[in-house]
Amino acid sequence: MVKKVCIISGAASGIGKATLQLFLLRDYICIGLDKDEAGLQKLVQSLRKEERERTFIHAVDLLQEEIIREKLEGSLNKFEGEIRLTLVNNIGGSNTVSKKFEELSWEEFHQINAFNLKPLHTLTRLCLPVMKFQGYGNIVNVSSISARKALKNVGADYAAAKAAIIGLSRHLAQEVAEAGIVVNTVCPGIIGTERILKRWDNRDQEINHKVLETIPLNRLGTPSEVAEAIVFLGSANNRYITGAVLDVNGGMFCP
Amino acid sequence: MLKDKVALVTGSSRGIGKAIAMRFADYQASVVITYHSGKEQAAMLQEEMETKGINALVAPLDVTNEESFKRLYDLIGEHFGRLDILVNNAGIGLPIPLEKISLEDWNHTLNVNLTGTFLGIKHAIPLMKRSDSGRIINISSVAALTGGSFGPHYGASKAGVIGLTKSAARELATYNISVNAIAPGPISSEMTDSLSEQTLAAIIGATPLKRLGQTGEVAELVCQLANPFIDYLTGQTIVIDGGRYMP
Ligand SMILES: NC(=O)c1ccc[n+]([C@@H]2O[C@H](COP(=O)([O-])OP(=O)(O)OC[C@H]3O[C@@H](n4cnc5c(N)ncnc54)[C@H](OP(=O)(O)O)[C@@H]3O)[C@@H](O)[C@H]2O)c1
Repeated sequence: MVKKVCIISGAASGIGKATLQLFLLRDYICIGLDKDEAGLQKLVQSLRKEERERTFIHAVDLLQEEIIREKLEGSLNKFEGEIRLTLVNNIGGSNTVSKKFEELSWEEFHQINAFNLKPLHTLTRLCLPVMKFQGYGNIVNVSSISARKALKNVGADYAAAKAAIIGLSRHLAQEVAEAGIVVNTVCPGIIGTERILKRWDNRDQEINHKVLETIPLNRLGTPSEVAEAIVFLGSANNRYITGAVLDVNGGMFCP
Repeated sequence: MLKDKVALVTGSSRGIGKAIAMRFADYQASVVITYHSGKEQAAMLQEEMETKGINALVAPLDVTNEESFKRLYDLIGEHFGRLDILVNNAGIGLPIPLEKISLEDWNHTLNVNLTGTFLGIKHAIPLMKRSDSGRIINISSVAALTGGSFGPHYGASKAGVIGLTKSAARELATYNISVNAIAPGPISSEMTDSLSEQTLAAIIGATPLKRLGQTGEVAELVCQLANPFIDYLTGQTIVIDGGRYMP
């Protein structure tokens, strides 16, 4: 039997968690990676027994290439025969307070870029040989509205890192198409993850009101709405969309 | 996934429209099939669906004719009392070079592809307002973004559909109706059968996945967009073309 396997980075909360849960509903075996061990444990506890048996978690610092290599190679070697592997490069983020460009040192700028790009680089290079061998692969990279549109309260470091993901995905799509691998990007708008909601609830509601006015649907998105988009690009049903960018943003930016 | 939803697919007697209607049926939605000239094909499709236990309605529709649309929506209102998903798929593409396009060709292409989409949306609103998550999906084409093998009249009509999609998405957001466009590259169909072998070979050569798309692949994408759990996706144009055009 063909096994469907999905690797998700940043799976302990927010969009990554919703994505893992949705892939489980679609009968995938899921491998969740995150630094937050407690979060991963909590996620596993919340699953049904049958789902738990299909879920593997690794609490790792996603910036540590060697450690990821060890953990994942072990996991991937466990699967024998035909597998349909999907990789969701979801981990990323910015600093809570974004600095103006003039105040951003190279080190700070580089740090955010590395945080958003290095795990993607490591995981993708780890998965490609397996995908090529199988003649099948599906990669979904999670970028952001910040790569599509200049937003207040977001730094150039984050905008640059997320835009890099789009360029990289497009290029990779072209490089690996003949091996039967599709690569796409999802750009979430402002999504009410626990992290964002905390920030959202603790600030002047007047600011929030102004932000909502820029969103035709007049609300934040939910993690599961983004997960739906990731799963539909990332599941075995999608064999022809590649190099695409899918914006899930309530109409905030329509290129 | 789409059980209890009512989906209208314009131009579903054959080609991509037919594949979309069939995929909706696979997902257990009730389906409204429309035909322009292909009455028999439409009737056969309905029969096929009914044997699968799907509630399917067939009706004639000329998308260029406002009265025809009004009659269709009256019928849907009587029959189902609601409409959750509208797919504006009916379209024509006659490959003609710019200098040879008559005003008649031009007007006809814009009437079917662009005005037809406008009329479809406009008259669907009263019914769709009743749905808790309305979906409008317009079939544009990658020709709108890159120019294409079917000539400027076709490209212009399909680019118009994208503009219409964005404005409609803004306005209809208040009713929780999302509006998106799909831009397929060349899909193996009667439409691409009209292209020369040379053109097809050039297209495939320039496509990273090295093949044409299949009608079922577009249909699957439409159904995923119709998924009620993804209300937040609106105003977008999604390209499905094997990686030939990556905006
Ligand atoms: N095939 C491709 O490669 C491709 C690529 C990009 C975009 N598209 C777009 O995808 C859509 C479907 O294309 P297709 O290849 O499936 O085309 P197709 O096989 O030619 O089918 C066209 C459908 O539209 C209907 N139709 C034509 N004129 C109409 C009118 N005035 N009123 C109502 N219905 C009308 C036809 O109905 P009858 O047969 O009953 O007359 C038929 O069901 C079109 O919008 C097309 O532009 C296609």
